[in-house]
Amino acid sequence: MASPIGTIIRTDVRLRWRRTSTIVTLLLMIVFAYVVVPDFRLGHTVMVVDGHRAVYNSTALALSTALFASFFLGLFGFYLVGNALRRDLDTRTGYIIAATPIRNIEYLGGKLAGNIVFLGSIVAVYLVGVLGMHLLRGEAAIEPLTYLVTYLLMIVPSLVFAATFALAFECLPLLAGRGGDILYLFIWIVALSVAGVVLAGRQAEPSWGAIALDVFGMGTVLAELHRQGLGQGLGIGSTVFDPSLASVVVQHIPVSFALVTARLASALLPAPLFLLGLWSFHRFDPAKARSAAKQGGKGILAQLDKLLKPLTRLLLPVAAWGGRSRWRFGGQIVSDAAVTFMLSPITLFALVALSAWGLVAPLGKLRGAVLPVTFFLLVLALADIATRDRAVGAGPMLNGMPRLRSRRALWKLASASLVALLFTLVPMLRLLLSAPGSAAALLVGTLFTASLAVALGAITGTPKTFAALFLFFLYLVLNGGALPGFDFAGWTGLATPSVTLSYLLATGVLAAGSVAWQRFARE
Amino acid sequence: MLELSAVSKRFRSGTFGVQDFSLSVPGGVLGLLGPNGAGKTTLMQMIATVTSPTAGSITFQGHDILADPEWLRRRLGYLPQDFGTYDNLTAAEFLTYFAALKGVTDRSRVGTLLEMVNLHTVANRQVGTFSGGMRQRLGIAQALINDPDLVIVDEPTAGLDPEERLRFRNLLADIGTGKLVILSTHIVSDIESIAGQIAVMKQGRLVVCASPEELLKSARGGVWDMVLSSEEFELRQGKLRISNAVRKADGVHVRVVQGDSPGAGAVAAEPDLEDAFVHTMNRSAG
Repeated sequence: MASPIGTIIRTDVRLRWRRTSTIVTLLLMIVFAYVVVPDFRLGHTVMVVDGHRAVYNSTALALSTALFASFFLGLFGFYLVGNALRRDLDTRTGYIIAATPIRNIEYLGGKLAGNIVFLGSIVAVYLVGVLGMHLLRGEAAIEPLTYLVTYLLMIVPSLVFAATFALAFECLPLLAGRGGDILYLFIWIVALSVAGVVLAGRQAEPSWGAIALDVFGMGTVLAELHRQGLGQGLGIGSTVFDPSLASVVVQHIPVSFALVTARLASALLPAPLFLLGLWSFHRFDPAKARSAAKQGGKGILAQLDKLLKPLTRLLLPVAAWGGRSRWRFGGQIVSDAAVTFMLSPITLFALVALSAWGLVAPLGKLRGAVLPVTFFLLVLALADIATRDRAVGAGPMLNGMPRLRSRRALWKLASASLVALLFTLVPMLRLLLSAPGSAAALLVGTLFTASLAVALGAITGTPKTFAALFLFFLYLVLNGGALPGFDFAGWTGLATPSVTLSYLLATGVLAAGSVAWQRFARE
Repeated sequence: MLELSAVSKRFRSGTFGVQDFSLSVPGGVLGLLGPNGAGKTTLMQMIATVTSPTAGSITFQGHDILADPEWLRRRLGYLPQDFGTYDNLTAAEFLTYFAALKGVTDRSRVGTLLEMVNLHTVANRQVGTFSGGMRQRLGIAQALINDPDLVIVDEPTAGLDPEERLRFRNLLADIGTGKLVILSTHIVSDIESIAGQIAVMKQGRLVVCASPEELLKSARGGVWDMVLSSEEFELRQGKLRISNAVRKADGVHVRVVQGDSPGAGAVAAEPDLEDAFVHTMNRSAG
């Protein structure tokens, strides 16, 4: 029989590879490779250094695509593997595991390694896609060793980072939930910034410690480009370049002992967090872990929810009215929206607080603060609307309700839209008076968010997909403030009618996708 | 020999899951009987080292399992209540996984156990396609993969059809030879033919632990059969301690468990284990 750790890794990877969502993820990685390495003859390229296009050789392609994957898997990897312990808890196999002689360090070590191997397998598929693109669009021969070394150096620390945070957050009662999901986005942003801060002004010769702190490898790449005399302004992933400027050739990166050890140190940076997780691991003791499965956890948000639970009594008449309504489907929508607030009283509190803030805040603050905070909180309110019934096994029961089975997706779309509209109602009314265009954009942005939550929840079966993608989207929106395309909900007033129309179209596509998926899943 | 001495589990809310529970079991099959919420699952989780008691001690074969849970875990087979599976694994993969976690080195055990629970023909089928009974059999195979000395199964027959229940019962009876098997249930018929000892629990406490024969003996003279008209039955059902009632053409045939004769027409009956259980619960209620 194989070692327990080996078996845990194999079983975890096997379980994940057999999920439909993994197949979708792998297909997306291939598409991702196609998009990231564009045909430079059409005006876009994978790597631009100070406006110069980098020639498509193995070093440039490996560096740019690895860096891209490092960023993205550093963020999304956390959400992809964030249910390693939850699965054992939900299936109650955790109790059996707790009664076996396996030691906590073996079990969690196996889970961590399983997380890393799974993410590594996704990178491997992506790399195959990149190599395919090199064959199609490359300007020099493929050097497998260059790819292998670059990917190992660039991506491994990032994967370990995401995998360790995901596992440790599952072990830490306060962070094992939606609160931890949101917190990780900020940790990822900080980790990105730390590298920049540490390396600022020292690109020519960054210290070993600076490279070690640069988990995602951005600073390391910049330093290398600077060392080769290619400049410091780096753009990667389907970027526009100046065709009038000469192309540059990125040379091999010298793999020094210092570089290897620094990247190894990067990979080991989250080790203390793993130890913290090990220390606080519940080993499926029902006195510590059952509430996490049955009562929404012991995370910060779950604790706040418990505290605010009495508030939801106010909603009982609303839910009851839903049942009495003559328009049965409308009543079902209202009831589901009411249940959303009953299940998460903190969202009800947030709704009241944000509406009050939206009433009194000056218009500038309304756009710059109230709306961004509202959309961040919508993650909490909307993420599990499409998945919660299945998660608690209530799906078959709901299918027995009058006409709900055939309208399941529409019901969830309408319920999520209603919840989201309640959050943005006050700002929308105020914008309507002063900037009707922004009010229209806010309406569309609200519906877009609700549709995205339902579509991603329905298709992937987990609230984490929406949480991860939408939080990242909000990060891009906040950082791309001057671009009209990012004004999806009238925050900046830059949204043009065509931008708003595009988001409306996307909303329609997402809604249609949800309905189509529901039909497909039912059959 | 399993010995529990003054074992208690108090939750953070202040309520007791199990309170001052003491018991010695030498071997064979111990049936743990009690209504829902009696504390059976909490007690079994403590014996299985999944959770710790807040007071008391538990020893198995003389070893303190609270001080050294690893020692017991190497000799333990545990099937929890509402046991779930990884639906995407095949039966063979599922067993291989738990065999590895339990440190089983003999590769042939997976095949042997699948054969024992009659799942060898579907060894390579994904568990998600299994019926409830097949899943339970896979669960017991998992519990036995390390050839344990102590087997703990919590409500294993819940949700099974009569045929599967019988099959499962026979399986447990076979296992009971040479091992200590603790089987919890609230269905008396699950244990009446296989348990050597029955421990009755109520509100976290041990009410009685005795052999089925002793339980039957204690109920003797306290079980009555009588036929009531529908009207009489409606009037008296709240006052009588009824263990069974069947409507027939000539009236409602009721079985009453109480010390004194319930009235005219009542005939003393030979108790079965169901009656003995009701009798025990009645007595504990005072």
